[in-house]
Amino acid sequence: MNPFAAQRRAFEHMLAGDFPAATGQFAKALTGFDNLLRDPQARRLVVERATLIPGYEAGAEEVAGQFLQALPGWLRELHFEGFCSALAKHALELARMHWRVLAKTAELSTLKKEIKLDLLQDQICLRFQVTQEAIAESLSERAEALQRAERILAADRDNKTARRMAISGYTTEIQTALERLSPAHKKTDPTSALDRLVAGKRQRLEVRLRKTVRRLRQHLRLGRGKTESDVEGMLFSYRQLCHYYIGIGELETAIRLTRRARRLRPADEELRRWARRVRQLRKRR
Amino acid sequence: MSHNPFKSNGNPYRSNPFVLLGVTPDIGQAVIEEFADAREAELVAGLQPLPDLELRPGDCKQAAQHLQDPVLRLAFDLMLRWSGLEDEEPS
Repeated sequence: MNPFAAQRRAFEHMLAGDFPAATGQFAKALTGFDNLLRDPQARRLVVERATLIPGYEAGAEEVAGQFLQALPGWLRELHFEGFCSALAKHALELARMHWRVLAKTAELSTLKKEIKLDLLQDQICLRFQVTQEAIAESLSERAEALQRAERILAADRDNKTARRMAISGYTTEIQTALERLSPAHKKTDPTSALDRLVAGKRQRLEVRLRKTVRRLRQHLRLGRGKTESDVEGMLFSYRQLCHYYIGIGELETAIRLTRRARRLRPADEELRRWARRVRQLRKRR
Repeated sequence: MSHNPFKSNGNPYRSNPFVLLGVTPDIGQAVIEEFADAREAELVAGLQPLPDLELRPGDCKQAAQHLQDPVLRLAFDLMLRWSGLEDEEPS
C-alpha cells in the first residue's frame, strides 16, 4: 500500500466534505506509514530517493533516517492541528474526523509512542482557554468558556478535561444563582428567597437554573466512570444539585442524586449523613 | 480563536508538509507546486541560484528553503512522486 497516494485521496475526500471516505483513506495511509517505518525494504526505497538529492548522495541514509524519524510527529501534528483548526471554525464533522484518525494513530505500533491522547486533550483545552481560571472568571467569561468546552466535547466526547471543566462551570453557575437567591442567614433554604421574588424575575431565574441543572446532570452522566480522578468536584456538583432540588421541593430527585453521589464514595461517612438528612427532610414534609 | 500555524514566527509546524497540505490545503498546494517548479528550475539551471518564486503575499515563501533542507526536500519529493502527483511510481 502506498501511504502517500492514500493520504492524497484522503485530502481530496476531506476537501469534498466526504468525511467517512476521508477517514478510511487516512486510516489506510497511517497503516502504510506504519509499515514504511517498520519495513526495511520500504526504508530502502526512501534511501534510494534520498540519493537523488544533489549534494547528499553520500548522506542519503542519514537524510532518510531523519525523514522517517520526523514522520510520526508530522502525522500527529497534521491531525492535531486539523482538529483545532476545524474546531475554531465550528466544523465539527471535520474535527471529529481528525480525532478519529488520531485515535487510530494511537493504535499503530510505530506511531503510538508519538500519540498521547490525554496530553493532546489537555493541550486542546489550553488552546481553547477551557481552564479553571476561565471558569472562575466573570459570568460572561464563564459562559463563553462553557460554550468552548461543550464544543470540544461535541467533537470529542471523551475529553476528560473539558468534561471536568463543564461540570465545574455549571456547578459554579448553580452555586452562584442559589447564593443570589438566598440571604446570608438563610443560604440553606433557597425556597424562602425564591418566594420573595417578583413573578417575572423568579420565572427567568427558574428557567435559567433549570437549563443549567439539566446541562450539569447531562455532563455528570456522561462523565460517570471517566472523570473519577475528580471525585471531590463531582461530589460538590451533586451537593449543589441536591440543594437546588430541595429548594424547589423535588425531594425524590434529591434523594436519587445523593444515592448517585454515594456510589462515587460508598464508605464516606459524611455522605451517608448527608443522604440521611435529605431523607429526614422528606419525612418532615 | 482561529489558529493559523503559519502566521507566527518560529512555529514548529511551519515546515511540516503534512500540516501544510492537510490544514491549509490552498497554501499547501501552492507550496508543493512551487516546490516542483523550483526543483525543476534547479535541475535545469544545474544548481544555479534558484529563480525568484512568485508566491502570494503572506504565503509560505519556503519552497526555496524546502529545496535546501534535505529532509523536507525528501518529504516533498516523496509526496509528489509517490502520491501520483508526478508520473514516476516507486519501483
